[in-house]
Amino acid sequence: MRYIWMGSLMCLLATGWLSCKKMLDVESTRAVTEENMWRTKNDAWAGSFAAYGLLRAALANENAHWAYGEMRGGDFTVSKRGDLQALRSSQLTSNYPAMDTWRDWRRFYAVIAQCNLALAKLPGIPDLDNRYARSEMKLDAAQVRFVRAFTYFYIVRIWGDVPLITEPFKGDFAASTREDWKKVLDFAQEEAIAAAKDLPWQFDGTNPEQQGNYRGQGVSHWRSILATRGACYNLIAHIAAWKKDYATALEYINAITDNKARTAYEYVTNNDMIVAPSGTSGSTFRGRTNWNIFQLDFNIDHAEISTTGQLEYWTLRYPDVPKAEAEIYVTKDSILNIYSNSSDVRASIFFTDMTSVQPMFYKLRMLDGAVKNPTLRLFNAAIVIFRYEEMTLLRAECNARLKNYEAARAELNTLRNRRYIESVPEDATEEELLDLILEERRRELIGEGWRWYDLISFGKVPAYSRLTEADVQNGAAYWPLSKNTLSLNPQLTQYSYWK
Amino acid sequence: MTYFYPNSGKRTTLLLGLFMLGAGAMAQQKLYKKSDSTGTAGSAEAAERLKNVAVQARDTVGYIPNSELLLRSGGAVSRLPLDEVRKLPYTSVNQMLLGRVNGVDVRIPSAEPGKRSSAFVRGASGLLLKNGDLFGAQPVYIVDGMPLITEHAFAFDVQRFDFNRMGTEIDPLAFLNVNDIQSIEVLKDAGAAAKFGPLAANGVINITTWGPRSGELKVEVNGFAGMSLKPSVDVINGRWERDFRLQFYDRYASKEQFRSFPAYLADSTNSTYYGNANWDDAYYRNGWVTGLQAAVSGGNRLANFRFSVGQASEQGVAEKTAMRRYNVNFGINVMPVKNLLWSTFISAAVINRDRPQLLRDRMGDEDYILSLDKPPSSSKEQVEQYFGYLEKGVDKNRNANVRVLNTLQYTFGRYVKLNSRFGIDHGQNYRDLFIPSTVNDGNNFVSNYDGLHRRLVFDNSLEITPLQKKGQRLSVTLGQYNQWDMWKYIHGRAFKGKSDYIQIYQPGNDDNKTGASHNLRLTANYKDRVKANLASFYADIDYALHDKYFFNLYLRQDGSSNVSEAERWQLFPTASASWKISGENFMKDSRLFSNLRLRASAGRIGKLFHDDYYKGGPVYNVEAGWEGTPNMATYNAFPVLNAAYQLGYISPGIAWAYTDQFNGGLDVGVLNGRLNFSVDVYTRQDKNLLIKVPAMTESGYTGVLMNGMDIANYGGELGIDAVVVNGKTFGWSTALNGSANKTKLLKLPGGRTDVRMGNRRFLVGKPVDKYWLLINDGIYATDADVPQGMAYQGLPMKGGDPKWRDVNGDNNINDDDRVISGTHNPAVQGGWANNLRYRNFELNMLFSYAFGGKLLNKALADRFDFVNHEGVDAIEGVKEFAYWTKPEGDIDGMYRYNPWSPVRAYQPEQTLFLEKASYVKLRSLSLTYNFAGAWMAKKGVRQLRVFVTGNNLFTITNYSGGDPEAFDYFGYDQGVYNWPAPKSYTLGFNLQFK
Repeated sequence: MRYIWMGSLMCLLATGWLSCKKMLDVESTRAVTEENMWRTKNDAWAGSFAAYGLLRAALANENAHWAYGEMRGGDFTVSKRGDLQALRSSQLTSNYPAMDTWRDWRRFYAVIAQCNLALAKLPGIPDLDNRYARSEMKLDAAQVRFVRAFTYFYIVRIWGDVPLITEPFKGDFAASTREDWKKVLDFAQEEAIAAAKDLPWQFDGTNPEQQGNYRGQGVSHWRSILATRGACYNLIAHIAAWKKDYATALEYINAITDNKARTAYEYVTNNDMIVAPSGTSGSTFRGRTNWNIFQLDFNIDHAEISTTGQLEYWTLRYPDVPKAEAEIYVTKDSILNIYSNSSDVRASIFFTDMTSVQPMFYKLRMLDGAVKNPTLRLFNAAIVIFRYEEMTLLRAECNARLKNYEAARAELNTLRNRRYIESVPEDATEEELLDLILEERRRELIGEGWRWYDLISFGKVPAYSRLTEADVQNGAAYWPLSKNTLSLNPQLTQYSYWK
Repeated sequence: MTYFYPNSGKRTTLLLGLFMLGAGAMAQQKLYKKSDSTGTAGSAEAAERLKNVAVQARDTVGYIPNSELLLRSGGAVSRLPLDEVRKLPYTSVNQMLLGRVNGVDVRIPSAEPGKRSSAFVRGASGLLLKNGDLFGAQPVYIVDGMPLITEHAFAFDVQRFDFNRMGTEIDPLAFLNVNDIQSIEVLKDAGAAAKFGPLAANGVINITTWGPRSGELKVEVNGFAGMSLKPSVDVINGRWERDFRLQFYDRYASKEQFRSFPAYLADSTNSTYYGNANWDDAYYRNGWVTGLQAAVSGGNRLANFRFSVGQASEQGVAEKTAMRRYNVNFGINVMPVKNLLWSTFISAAVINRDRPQLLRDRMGDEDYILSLDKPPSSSKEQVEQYFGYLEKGVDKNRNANVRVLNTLQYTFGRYVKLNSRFGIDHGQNYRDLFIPSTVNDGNNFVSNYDGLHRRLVFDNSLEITPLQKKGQRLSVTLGQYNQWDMWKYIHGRAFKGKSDYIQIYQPGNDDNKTGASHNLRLTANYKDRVKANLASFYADIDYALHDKYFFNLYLRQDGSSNVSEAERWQLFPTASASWKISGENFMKDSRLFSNLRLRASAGRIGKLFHDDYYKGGPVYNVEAGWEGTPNMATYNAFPVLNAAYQLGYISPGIAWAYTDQFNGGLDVGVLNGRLNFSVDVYTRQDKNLLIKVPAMTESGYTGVLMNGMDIANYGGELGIDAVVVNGKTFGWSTALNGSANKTKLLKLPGGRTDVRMGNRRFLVGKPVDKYWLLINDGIYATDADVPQGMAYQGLPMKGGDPKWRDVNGDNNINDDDRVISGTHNPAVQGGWANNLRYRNFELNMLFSYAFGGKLLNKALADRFDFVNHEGVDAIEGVKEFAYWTKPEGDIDGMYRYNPWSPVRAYQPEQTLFLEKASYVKLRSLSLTYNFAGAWMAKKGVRQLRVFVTGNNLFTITNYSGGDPEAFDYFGYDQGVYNWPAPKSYTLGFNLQFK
């Protein structure tokens, strides 16, 4: 008996005393380490699409896309929220949590950092995983390059001079300075040109850059969601226009329209398609259409839906969502003022409940059938970045500035006529023509995050806000840097208006 | 370096352990029968053996050690007066500790029955900024030598709001029945705690349960029942709120602002808000508290046992909350062969909790903001209707816990002893939730959560006692310790089920979109798992000379799986000594001193990281979400994986953090032990702590995680107890304890001296627990009163704006003008207990006190900041039924600022809302009658006592915002979310039969 006990005891102790470090080598199940990343095709896919994912997150965070691009223009009136009121009146240093978020550019630099990292790492993967063809790698890298160029363009419009970081981060938190925005845009433009070379016109398998199904999905899965050559050219045109290089801008827009057979881009076939609700094929804000050139996607079929991050979070109210008052709305006076021409179809389809004190902005209302009756507030409107009508208005502007008035008028009239308003007078001067183009952009693109940038590029900020020309010269049209950004990097300085 | 250490295979250990348990149980049963339980050995063989067994101290304790090593106590230890605590209706260990032991700061932010609470031994060991940080700052709770595993903070990672951790939020320390507990000690310094290894870095709560005992069969029954009293609150309805707001509207509002006056307050004929404010009738109640426990124990020294079952329940006074616990304990000791001691403990418990149905918490659970247009009504009917609807839903919260501990001790002759200990602590945490569409904007919601945590420990040691003579005793213990921890959970949730009758959630898959219980796109599923292992070797050298000089050296080499490979192993030494001066010859004749002892200890203990991703440099994560939508994981249906910008850049080569502790103590007993003092002074420096320092925003990262932060806690503790009168019929004894703790930031990594995180700022050389506030100097009544150029973050100040002090004099109020000031941690706190005895009666009372703490009355700030809490489509806009309580605080004394001002005049972080919160509280009062007399012996009754108790009877405080103990972990008084502990009265008895 005794020996049995002793034996078991010894046995218990003897199970161990083996040399090994196995017990303490526990792989993290919660995060992927550097040595396990960028090794396979799946890593490449996930790491490159992270660029899109982070860009969407940056634009959706606290509805940043509209905070930067729309609200300061003043077309929307705020019902109650103090932070939005401060935003609307350009009191951008006020003390609200959301305002802190908007002042902070970290999320945009996360996009850039991810792009820098992916561009450094992607070329090595085909050697490690032969399922990942070099041609596919080139295609993924070109998309990442596009996202980086776009992000720089996007933040230059918000903050002006920004640090230009192009190399992956290696743990050396070196302080960088604000680079002249023109140089940043030069970089972005070069990058976009380089990316365009490797991008197809469409992901339909018919281009040399992209053959067969991309990631196992056909063209309908990717239309207007991924970076294409057309999106790249459109970006280059915008970068050039922001630099006032209208000739280059025009050149690239023409390159898009000259390839109509390959891009299939066209006007919204039917005006109702701009505002068609979720579930309607061809709806602009559902996207994946020939009239959207580039969009950041939301999609109920992929459960990529959310309560926040889309304009509907601010604009919808009863009866569409259980909320008595929308955060923002366009007043009746403003609607009548903006859509001064009574035949304009947009006045009636972009707004609803016109008889109430606060009409509802109804251009975006992507509530899928699955979240209705009663409404669960999960919206799925894509953030539309570039679309065909916007591009034609940019072309009209370039033509006008390059004194091709005839072409500018024609471009403008095509759109105006499609929206049931009369053609512009033939004797319009350049200045009048530009005003008409700006008005048209306002009418067509309201709620799409263009207004404030348009006011800047047309030099109309003082006319439409409480800022003076001197303020604009002092950097008031841009955003201040966040407290965090300034305190962590002493090399950065605030524009004098925000000091 | 190659290390040799036992059993790397957890599975082997587990199987062997279970085999031993099984075989053991059978053998034990056989042996037990053989040796008889009546006290006389049943067989001749057993009787023979019994003769040879020396009586040991533990036979009277009735308890077989898990490891001899753990029984030796030294260093700074506080003991809980359990006899008194046993009468009180406590369900959790932390409740028992509150105000009763020195050096422990217990935080119970809300009196929800059975909810997680916190304790800090000698201050918090790190920065506390969010709920998840608390998990790493808790002491370890040891039950009979088994360190309990507690919940992991990882579930917060997928949560948008930092209110409740996903799952049940049940207090894991509520599993123990106080009547099963023999003693609770708080081990505070390295000298006392180091032998529990890195788990003990934040202190140890060492709990010993009543184990099996030898002797006659003893049966005991303990019970109590009582009631928590419905609080009386100052109810209001819409009229009060309207009048309150109108004073601001009249003074500051523009036409547009007037137009957006909330509709529910504008219509004074609306009975929902302007009716009778009697919501409290249905919202609050008197709650029952009950407890019943029975135990039986007995046997002889060869084989003995104890078995107990218990039940306890507590109803909360608000929100129909409650908790119910059932527990079973079984312990058996046998000596199967000469020199081998073997004991097995098995305990199991189940706790069910009825949670509050607060709207804010629910929106957090759903990760969805419901319509906030119409706040809850102030009428009773609406409260009844709300809870009536909820009754048709499901909110089951259940934790189940099983602990198994198996220990063996074999003695080889006189000098060598072998200890082996194997334990499992296994907990399950299960929540099933269904919210019917009637209370959820017409969309029902379902979720379930299944969490598991498990710890395995395996500890073997060899004790050699080579020197045991001439007043000397030397013992050397060599051992190894392995620990495997695992936490995991599965969580699923879904909106818009087909009907309110289908209350389950069945996750579907892509091929089965229609067959599943919910539309696949409106569901979300989460899974997470962490494993953490620890391997250690230790040597314990103990030397005592003439019972006057005691020396101890404890050396421990720890290896943790959560530390990067190159830094994985580190040596942690502790030394302690004590000198019993009263044992010296020159003191022998002292009439004054019955005890005089000087103690000192110094040691270093490693600190474990709770996350498993610090060990291999920078990591990748899925962070495609944004504010309000944190868990987006795909782009156009393709998964994304990015460098962990949100989580932070993890520096390569993360090394151990550790704590250096020094303690000096003096124990004095005078007048034959009638008066005892105990004084301790200490410093505790937590070093090389991991901190996420904010990174330059251009890097894209929110921060860099690196070692190198040092935080000190230092202070002192004083305990006095005295027997003032000790007559035959009358006696009075009293005990006072007090402790003071201060914090200081010693170092930040990379030579930094200043870090700002959230609403706190940390400066080297300054405390880490203070608020960071603007100083109010009044109000600018008109625009003309504003000094020329005075601005708030560049915005010109106007009339109605607060006159904040421009500390740096740059005419611009911003974060640089905030000062580090005030802390919720009291300067000194403790308790004063009195015990009066008259014949068979006993009267006990405990006052607890805290002086020098301050609180931020956020509830009041939010009330004044109604502009930013009304009509906002965010969690800040949520109101509860209890909103219709008159806000607590100095309402009339507040400046009437312009609440619409973009300077955010009523932000909580300003001295306006900072208030002193010292208090003295009569925490408990009990009157006991001890029965005595010859009849008891006749009836076989060993002990019988009955008692009545009263709890939380009154509080004296200078805090105007309500109960000064009801605030969150970070010093904010959140009003209706921090429930004060209710007044309660109970009646109970203890009965022991021979």
